[in-house]
Amino acid sequence: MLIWLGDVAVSTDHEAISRLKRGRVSSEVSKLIDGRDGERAELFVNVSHDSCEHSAREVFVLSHLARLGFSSDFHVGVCGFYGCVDCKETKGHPKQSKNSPFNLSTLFKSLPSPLEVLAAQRSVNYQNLALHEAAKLKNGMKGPFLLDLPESTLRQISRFLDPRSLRAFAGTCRYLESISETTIPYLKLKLYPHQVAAVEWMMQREENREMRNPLLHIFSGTAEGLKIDYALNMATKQGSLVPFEDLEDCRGGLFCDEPGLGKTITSLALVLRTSGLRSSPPQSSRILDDGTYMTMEDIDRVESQRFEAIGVHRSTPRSRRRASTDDELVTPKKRRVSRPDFYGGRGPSTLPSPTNTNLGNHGVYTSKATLVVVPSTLVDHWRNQMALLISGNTAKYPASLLAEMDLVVTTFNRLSIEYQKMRTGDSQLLRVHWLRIILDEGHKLGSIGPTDLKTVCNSLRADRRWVMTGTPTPSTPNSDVRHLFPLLTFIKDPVYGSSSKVWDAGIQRPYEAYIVSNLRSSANLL
Amino acid sequence: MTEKGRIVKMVSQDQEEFEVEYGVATMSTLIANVLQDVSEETTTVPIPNVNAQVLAKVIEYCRYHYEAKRIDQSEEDIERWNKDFMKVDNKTLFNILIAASFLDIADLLDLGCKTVAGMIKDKSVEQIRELFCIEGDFTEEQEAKMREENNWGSEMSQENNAAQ
Repeated sequence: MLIWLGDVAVSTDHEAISRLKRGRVSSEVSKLIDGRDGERAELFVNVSHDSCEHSAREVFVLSHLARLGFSSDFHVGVCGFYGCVDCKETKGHPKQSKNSPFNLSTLFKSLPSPLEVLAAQRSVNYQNLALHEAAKLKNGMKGPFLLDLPESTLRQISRFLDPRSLRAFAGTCRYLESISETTIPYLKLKLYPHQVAAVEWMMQREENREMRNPLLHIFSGTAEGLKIDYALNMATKQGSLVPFEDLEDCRGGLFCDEPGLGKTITSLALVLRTSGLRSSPPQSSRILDDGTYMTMEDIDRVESQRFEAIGVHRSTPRSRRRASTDDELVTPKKRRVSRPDFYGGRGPSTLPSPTNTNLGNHGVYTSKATLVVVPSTLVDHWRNQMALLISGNTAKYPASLLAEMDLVVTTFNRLSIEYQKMRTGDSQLLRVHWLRIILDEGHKLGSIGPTDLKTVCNSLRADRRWVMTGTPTPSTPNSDVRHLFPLLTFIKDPVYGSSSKVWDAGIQRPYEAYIVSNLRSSANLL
Repeated sequence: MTEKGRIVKMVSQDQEEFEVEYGVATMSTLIANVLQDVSEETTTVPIPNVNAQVLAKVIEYCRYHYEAKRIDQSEEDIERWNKDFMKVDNKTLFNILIAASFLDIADLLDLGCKTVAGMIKDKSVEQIRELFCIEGDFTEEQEAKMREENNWGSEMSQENNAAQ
């Protein structure tokens, strides 16, 4: 059964479109559905953006369907314009702004600056001081409290804290949170306001775990006394009734400052802010003896490989397994920023090669390290910046150690080499579950990047993923949103990065319609 | 008029007077700025928001460090003295911090902040709240989110603690 609702028109696939008045839609729909009990109803709602009443109309029809038991299975065909679904956004409608230059640079310029957003949030925090006053009275205690100290003093206190304590400190109340937000432990110099704002924004992005699928548009309305909320996925045209599941957000984004604004410093500050934090293994994984973990798929894969390799000798003595992995762990722990010389011939290949029979050697180390991938020309730049800003550089590079460091710098070339190793299952870089990966000049991934590089980057495991670039897209007048897709794939954006189909439907086509809700959250412009 | 003979009278909130040598008093940037504009032999500087007990403590700090600099006291001695000096209850500590921040004595402020930071170190959110009488004002959701994100490799810090 196919019902087509467009311009208040209902039809089935057997009938020609007949124009109906709104009042009759209801009876028509009921009639159609009543007749075909249990049959899957496909409903197409064709809406026109001239009248913004369409959402009311959809709710009206859907409420009918819901009551009749066709709750969650309907398709909505919007009339080609993504933007018309949400009435507020019809301003950006291409019909009205056809002549305006529709290129990426104007789009980026229109993004709200995080500075303003954060400033708005911050003003709220100070109001909570009143609560503190109340608490003081309740306790009936005299004398100044921590919160009575001048703000500058509190800031100074926060500067003496290590990242972990800083977090606890910030977790006590909103006022202290707002104060410690701008504090970067260990950093030698003061950040500029725009850099502070950028770090705050990045922290927020990393802490955001769930997000609403931006493709879902929520309608709520009352139709004939029945309140209905429903969501509509604009890319797949699948609808569902609320409640629906929120997506796990990608923790990261595109960090795009103009050259010279100090992207390196800002991301170093981000690293310092969270140094000590560990990546957490995925839920469906097994923790091995040596603190590494494996996902179930990995175990299956390794087990089957091993089966092929050694045939009958499937069960390795546990004791032996333990012994060899312990050896790997007995290594001095590096504090502060360590910098393995990871490029140029030397590398993790110096490690004892993993034995096929050892499951432990396939385990993935959780890590508190940030992997920074840079073009080889920029390695020295990073080295200098680090030496300038933070104290204590050392150079070491064993594999389980990589997980214990705070910062690992490697190059794109190195990653390409890792690709070869990846195929033999021998890549040490892939054995670490990084806390964070930062791709410097990440736009390389966008267009010209060789495919094996993309493969490696995408298979690196990390909790947080960042692409850092001054030019997210090639700076030609006709630069294309297309270049952003590989970047989103890398940061594992759950919506647009997952498949090119969704990308096409969600971004590529409606790009002309000026609705890029995802980029709005991903781009950081100053 | 040499600076050496100059005396600064500091008057506390409760009208108590402290006579302090010029070199000691000017460890406070605030007082140094005030004194720049006057040239009399004895200057009275009111410190309206610091009481006598705290002011005495602050002056004690300044006097020691002024002397320590003059006679080239060893770093260890200074550090030990600082540590002893900071052995006060929270109320006094915060009072000193407020005074140091008002009088703009960078070293004392630094010392106090480090002390407070030391108290906070390796404590949980709840412990810090109790210690400083802070009322949590986050929503349940925010609290849960913060707890979630707490994988700091705790086994490492335990080792560190044991080593200390």
